[in-house]
Amino acid sequence: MLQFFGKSIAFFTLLLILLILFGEIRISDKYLIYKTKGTDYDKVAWNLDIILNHSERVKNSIVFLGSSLVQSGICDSTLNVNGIKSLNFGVSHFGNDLSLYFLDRMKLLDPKAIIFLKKKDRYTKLHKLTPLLYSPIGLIRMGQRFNLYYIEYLFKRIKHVFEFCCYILLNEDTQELRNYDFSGYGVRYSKITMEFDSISFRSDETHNLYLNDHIYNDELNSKSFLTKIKVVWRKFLFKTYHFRNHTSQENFVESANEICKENNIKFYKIYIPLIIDTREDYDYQRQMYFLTKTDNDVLCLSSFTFLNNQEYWADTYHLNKKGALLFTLKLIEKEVIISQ
Amino acid sequence: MLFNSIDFALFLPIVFIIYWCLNFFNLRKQNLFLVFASYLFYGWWDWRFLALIFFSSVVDFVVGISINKSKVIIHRKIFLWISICANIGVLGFFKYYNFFLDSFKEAFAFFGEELNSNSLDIILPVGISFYTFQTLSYTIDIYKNKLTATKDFISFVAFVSFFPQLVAGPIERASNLLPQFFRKRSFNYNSAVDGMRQILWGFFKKIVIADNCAQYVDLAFSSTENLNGSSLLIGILLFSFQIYADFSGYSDIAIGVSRLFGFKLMQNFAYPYFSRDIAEFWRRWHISLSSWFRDYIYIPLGGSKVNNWVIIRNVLIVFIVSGFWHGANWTFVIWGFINAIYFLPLILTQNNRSNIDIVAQSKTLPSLSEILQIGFTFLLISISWIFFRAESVLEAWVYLRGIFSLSFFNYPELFPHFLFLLIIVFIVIEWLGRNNDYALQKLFDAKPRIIRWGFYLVVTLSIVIGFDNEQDFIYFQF
Repeated sequence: MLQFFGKSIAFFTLLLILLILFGEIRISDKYLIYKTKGTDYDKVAWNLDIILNHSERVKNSIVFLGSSLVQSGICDSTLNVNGIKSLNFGVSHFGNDLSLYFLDRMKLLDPKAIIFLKKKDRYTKLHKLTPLLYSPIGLIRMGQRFNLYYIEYLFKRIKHVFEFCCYILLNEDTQELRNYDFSGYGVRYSKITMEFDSISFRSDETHNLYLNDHIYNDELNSKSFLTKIKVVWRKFLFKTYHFRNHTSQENFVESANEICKENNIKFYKIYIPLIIDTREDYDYQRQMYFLTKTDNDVLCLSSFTFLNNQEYWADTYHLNKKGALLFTLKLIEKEVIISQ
Repeated sequence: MLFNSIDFALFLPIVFIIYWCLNFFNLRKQNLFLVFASYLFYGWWDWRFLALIFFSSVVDFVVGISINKSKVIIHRKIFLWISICANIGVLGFFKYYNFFLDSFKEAFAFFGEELNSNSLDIILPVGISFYTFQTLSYTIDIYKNKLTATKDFISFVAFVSFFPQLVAGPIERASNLLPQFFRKRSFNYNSAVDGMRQILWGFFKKIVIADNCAQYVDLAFSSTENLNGSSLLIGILLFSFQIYADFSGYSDIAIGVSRLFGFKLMQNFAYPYFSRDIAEFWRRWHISLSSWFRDYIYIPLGGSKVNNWVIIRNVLIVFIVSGFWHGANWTFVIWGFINAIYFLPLILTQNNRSNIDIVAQSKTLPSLSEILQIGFTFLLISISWIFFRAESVLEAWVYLRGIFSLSFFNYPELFPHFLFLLIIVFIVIEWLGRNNDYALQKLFDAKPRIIRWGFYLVVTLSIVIGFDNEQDFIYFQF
């Protein structure tokens, strides 16, 4: 049995070393653009073009980084018109790893401030683009732990590197940038896809449950033992939230914070509302339920009721053009952004 | 839980370690743990259907003991029918209820009558066709006095639910697998290494060959009208490799995993695409199912020791039932019928056992006539796969018509060079290893460790590169 274990461990260790070494092959920006072209992530090309060819636009700018919530919700043209030099670097899908990647690429271009997206739920998975962006050792250096997500990443990384090698060997079309529109701003407004009668029923009871002693409204009159157990369990989860929330994603934020400190860049997070935040006037500045240990400077409006109208929403998560303009103007009006 | 998932990659080593630690206690605890692991494995997909497996186990356990105790033939028959009705009833309800209902409706509509009944929204429990056949063979063997009923309930439940082969076979005979649960098992290094090697080869077949073929096959069947005949032919040839690599890959993983736990399962595929005629193909393809039909349907019907008309009837019944076993769709029935038609000339001329040994045994290469025979058999089988893969008879017909059209002589629009290269490598390895249970078994036995490990690392690396998403095995749907 020991012999079997010994050899199995030796084999898989050898395999892991091979995978990591193979994964260290650097994937070029051109290939990154080629792979993301026509996908939800094709904004990557615009971001890279700014970094590679228009670095003056980054200098002294406030750069917003994050998911599609940032991409469609922060109107950088409006900010610029109002004298706040800014860039929207948002790209679809969640993950601080992607934001950290762009921060790392632009850290020497002298941005004034970096603003990461603060997501309501905790991050767990890696961004879908990460296998294309980071080498295995590079990702570990940025704070990734050696866990299942890393193994999953490694599998995908190997696949991408292999495809990249084929791409280089077969000398496929490398003129992807030719037809890309690099002008304009970084905001990409979401198309309206929402099909619902009214937004009045949507409220964020779950994330504000602590305000109601961890009891849902439909449980108020319940005397069942099971409900009591559920409530105790929720309280336990609430108390241990910071402890549980220490994921690799938090490490990425810490790494981002350190990079910013080293390069004299201000670092913040911003909360962008979902439709469920707009019904009631929750005081988000006091709200602690969803904060993590790296959430020291979260820029957040105290109320989102001004967006409680379906004409501002593309779907239940994303603001539409009208909503993004209003939200951005509100950030300026309330001096949430200008104070940077 | 899928074999090709991260969940299983965690599940297997944990279960393996606990299982062999329990070896220091007693066999009963080890079997009980296997039951727990198997139910966890199955429940990962949908825990509600665990009740069905348990029901099937209880019924056949009780029926088995009752048949054994009973000396009166009529009583024994009644008990056997209880088992058959319970198992086929469950299978019939979950798998065929909607099919029969819809077929009746269509038949009534054809005669101008409207039948008012609604189809049910039934989920087909994964592996139901496999474990019901496995438990059925247990009670039938007891009825035929080929086996004595067990009184060890835990071992019996472990036999029915044994996780490596629970959802897609091989469909084990109680006489082979059940006694292995009664014997104390000890860890055998060579057996475990062999198991690991077979698992590796199974994953290679599934992830590198089958999943890569799948995307082109899906394209061929979804764009039949837009592709030329040569592309459609390539599409169906790729499906032949897909289904073989997918299903035999699953079997290899199942057999390999079983070997890690000290069990030996039957061989399920014996290089069927190297067959020189259809009869040989059916002795080498899905052996556990083919032999099940042979032993429990074909031979009881009289087999081939009857007059020609009864032989024709028997062959048609076995192949059509076999087709129907695969799915509740007329396409599978036609697929079975086509294979029966292929098979009948051989059996009627008593040429069905002319190719028993593996092709070109003790030779490196086959003769020209063997190559032609293999090619012709492969082509016939590939054509029958059209009905197996198509969603409907009409779709299959359109596909078939597409191949045999003038556009067949155009250059194929579907021509994945790299995949063809992979398939050639795959065929070469299978050819070199065709005298063994699976291709990799003894391929590098005599080679230095550095070459063996180098090869295994390359195979593993190709699996990692080929791994995309967790894609279902084709036979899960049956």
